[in-house]
Amino acid sequence: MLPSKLAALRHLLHEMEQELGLDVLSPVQRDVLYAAHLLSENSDTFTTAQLRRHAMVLNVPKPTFFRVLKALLENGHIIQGTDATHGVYSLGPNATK
Amino acid sequence: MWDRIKSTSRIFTHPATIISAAYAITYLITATLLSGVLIGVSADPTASASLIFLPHGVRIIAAWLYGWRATIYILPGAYITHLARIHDDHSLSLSDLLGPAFGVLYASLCFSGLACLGHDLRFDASNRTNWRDILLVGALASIINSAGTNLVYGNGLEVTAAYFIGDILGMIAVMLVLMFSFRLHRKYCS
Repeated sequence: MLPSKLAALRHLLHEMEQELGLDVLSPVQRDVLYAAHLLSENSDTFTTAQLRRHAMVLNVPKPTFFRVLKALLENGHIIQGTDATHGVYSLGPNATK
Repeated sequence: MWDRIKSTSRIFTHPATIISAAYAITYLITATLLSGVLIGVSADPTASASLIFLPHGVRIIAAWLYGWRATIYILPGAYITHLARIHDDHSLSLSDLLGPAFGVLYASLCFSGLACLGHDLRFDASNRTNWRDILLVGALASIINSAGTNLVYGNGLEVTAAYFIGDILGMIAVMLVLMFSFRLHRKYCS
């Protein structure tokens, strides 16, 4: 199966998952997303370091934090900023869902 | 050696292999676990109507991704399912082999028909199709398929309705199984 077709199928079913409300965030994912929301109140973008230092995620182990960050990126809750090499992010289209 | 491995892996990842395998597996699950009746044991079509007919989901997804070519890709799967049933009937009728291909063809025609009406849902890497649209096409294809079966076998309205319900529930079940499989893959393999 061509990768583009598999990707389209995965995308279709991921949309289905989101629209059916089955794409529920874990407590840690919610904490990181809330922290991202709070950081976005002052500025449109935030960095990995700012997010990592935020009181809501301070106790999250480093590997978990980065795994959660990756998941939030994949789900469109946050998106990478134009200066991606410096770990700059902003809230994504699914951030309020 | 490396070329041999590559050519073998190409066979396993070929759309015909994947679609046929998916069709055969879902058909056998439907026949053994879901319908509660052995397909082909009775001449009565109602005996083989399943409440959840999983292969319809495979037909629709295959038709969405590969269009009319999926009608050819599904043929080996149709033959495999026939081989799995030959304990009670050794003859391979043309309808046994072509039935699944027609099921895909109806779905493919539905996609083309909707495209002619300005609602193009066919697969295109740049064009995103919504899952509800796929279900809609699946329902349309099932209506045509059920009506066609009704014409050929002269089934009553009840049997036609049973086929339709089975197709719809089967399609939803396949999409849910795939959705949860991808979800598990995301969770544990990434």
